[in-house]
Amino acid sequence: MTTDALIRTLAQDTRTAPPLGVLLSVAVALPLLAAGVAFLAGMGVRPDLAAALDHASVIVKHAFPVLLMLGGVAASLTLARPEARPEPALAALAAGPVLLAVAVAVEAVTVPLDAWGRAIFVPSLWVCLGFVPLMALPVLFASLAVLRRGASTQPRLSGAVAGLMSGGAAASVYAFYCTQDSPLFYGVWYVAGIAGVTALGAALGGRLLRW
Amino acid sequence: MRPDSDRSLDGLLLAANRGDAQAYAAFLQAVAPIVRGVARARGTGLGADVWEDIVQETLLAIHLKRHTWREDAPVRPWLYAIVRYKVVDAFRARGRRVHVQIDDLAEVIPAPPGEDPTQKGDVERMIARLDPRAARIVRAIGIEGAEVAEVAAAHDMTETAVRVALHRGLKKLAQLRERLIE
Repeated sequence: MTTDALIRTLAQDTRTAPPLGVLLSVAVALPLLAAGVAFLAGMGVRPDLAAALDHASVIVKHAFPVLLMLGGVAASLTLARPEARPEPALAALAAGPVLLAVAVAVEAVTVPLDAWGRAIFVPSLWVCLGFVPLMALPVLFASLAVLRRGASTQPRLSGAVAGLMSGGAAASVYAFYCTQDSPLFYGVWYVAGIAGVTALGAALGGRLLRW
Repeated sequence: MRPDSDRSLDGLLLAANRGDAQAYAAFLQAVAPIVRGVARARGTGLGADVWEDIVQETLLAIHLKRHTWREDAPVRPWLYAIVRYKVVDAFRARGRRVHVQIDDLAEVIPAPPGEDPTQKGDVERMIARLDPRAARIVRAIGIEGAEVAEVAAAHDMTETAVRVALHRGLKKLAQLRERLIE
């Protein structure tokens, strides 16, 4: 087939695609809603939620995953455009980790060193390590399926950002169940779960987001 | 230089997004010499048929990713980013590492098609691997120059069904390229 013939063929394909932003929002919201409702219906929302939200450390526990999710959606959409400079969006994505780092630092100087272990190694860490990635996976798969329509020139980075976004989304739901309010706890175990999903996202992105 | 110098690339792609197939063909016709120029400048010794394969792969990628262009942004940076990514990818698939700078693309000397534009290149081999109906549709429109309405009548399909089959066929071509060449 000559190039002219190919161009003639392409020109006849006039189908238009729905905006990526809309598709990605749905790909995050629907699996998160399904997994979140199932999780909270089964495990329950912490009974003292309203009172707990008086504490700054609890607010950070809820806020930093939400920031990761929102920043991740924005950065994913930027990365999906081949010409866009991703630096501003990636810098905005750091808001969640910075907030978390401040909370962990404050807690670390307040809590005596010999009490750190008790704050971090709580039996429920296994619940956290299990459910955060579990709820993140459907979000990750759905968002990667949408991002395949994009044109990222950095597939691994795009996959990692999608993983960060999915992990943040899952942790933001998990926080409604979790009664471990020490930044030392969620600074280790939420981060571990989210980091695992991020690594998986990078590995999958390197394969699935090439074009 | 370009036959469509009265209409910028931005204007052509904008019109294409409004369903103007002629503007879209003109856009791709204007882009092809740029890609050919890069392929030729970077691929010395590869031969005109390989350059043309690279042009066709890149045009196909531009087509399948055209919705990632934001209409409020200038088209050239977007276009050059895709051309750079696909040209580097096409050379990598053929065992060559090349560096293409965006600045090079702005200054590339557009190249007309070679004396004997490829008839049996990679895209032709990929079309042969499509399912028979999709291959017939792609060939009817591309090689025989048929309109979608004529193809629909000939295959007893609705025009929408032909358009869906064409779009899927083109997406499939891009996937086949990944597998065939690598």
